[in-house]
Amino acid sequence: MTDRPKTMPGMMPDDMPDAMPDALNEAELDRWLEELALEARHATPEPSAELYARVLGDAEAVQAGIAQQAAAVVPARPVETRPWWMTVLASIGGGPGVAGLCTAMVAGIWFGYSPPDALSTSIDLSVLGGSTIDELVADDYLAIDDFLVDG
Amino acid sequence: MPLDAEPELSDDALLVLFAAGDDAAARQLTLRLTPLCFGVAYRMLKDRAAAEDVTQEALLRLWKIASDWRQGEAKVSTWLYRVVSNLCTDRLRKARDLDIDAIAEPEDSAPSVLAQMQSAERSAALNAALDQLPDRQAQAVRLRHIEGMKNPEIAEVMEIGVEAVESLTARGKRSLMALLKGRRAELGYTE
Repeated sequence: MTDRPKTMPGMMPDDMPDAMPDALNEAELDRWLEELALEARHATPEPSAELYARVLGDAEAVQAGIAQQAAAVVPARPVETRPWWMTVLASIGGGPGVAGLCTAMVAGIWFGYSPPDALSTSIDLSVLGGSTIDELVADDYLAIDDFLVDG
Repeated sequence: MPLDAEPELSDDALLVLFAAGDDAAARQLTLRLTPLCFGVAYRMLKDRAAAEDVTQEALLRLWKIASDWRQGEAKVSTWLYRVVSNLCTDRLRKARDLDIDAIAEPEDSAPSVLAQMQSAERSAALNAALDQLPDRQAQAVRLRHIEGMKNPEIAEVMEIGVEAVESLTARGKRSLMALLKGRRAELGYTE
């Protein structure tokens, strides 16, 4: 700004009247500022009722926002609405898990009542001495009987 | 419940209550702080509508930080002085940038009018000179001499040291004297 008066850095206010005969001194400026302050305070109007309403409206809106935010930050603990049997079901793999379990159960019962020919109730224990498991069991019973009778 | 039913509570305490959703605290703070903000803004801007806008904006900022306000760390009024004076300084700077010729106008007044300069006109001349100061100098001089604040409080508002406030005020006053040179007699300072 070219039209701004130079402030003459380093020059003390008391020095200025010598350089500029028509310059204000600091005491005069202070008096003037004091006068300005008094006048400014006197001339300051009261805030309007409308301004109070605007400010209070903002305050209430912000308060509502704070309350809403607080509610969102601390959500209610999710309630377990699933029945207990669904929890068990889920723990064994859900529907497919149950289907597999049922199939295995039916197959087990089926094999129990009507075993295929490939399966024999008399397990061949030839590797253990050429007898079947029935013979082994019968032999053991006889041996125990002998022991009990003869000591 | 009367709006000023809790005069003994500090601004800090009311702000905590406000953040907790207390309606009465909101009303009490509005009644207490609106005139403070408006007064400072009006004295800086000399425009009612602009001062009202600044007041609303400053208080809206206060409401928004109420939840995070730390009691005892800073005074609410000091914080508001800072926000209001910064908002006003921004507005004055924008106005000065937009219409710099209008600010220089008081110096072009006719001698016959200046000879009969009344108090209001002298204030206008001083205000015009204040508006021409660098922002920080003007802010320091206004807070010290118009708002009547002490240097330590100004230091808090401006977030600088007390020595820096003293330096800004002194430089601001030197600038004012330079700006008003040659008008001493017409302003009534004759010896």
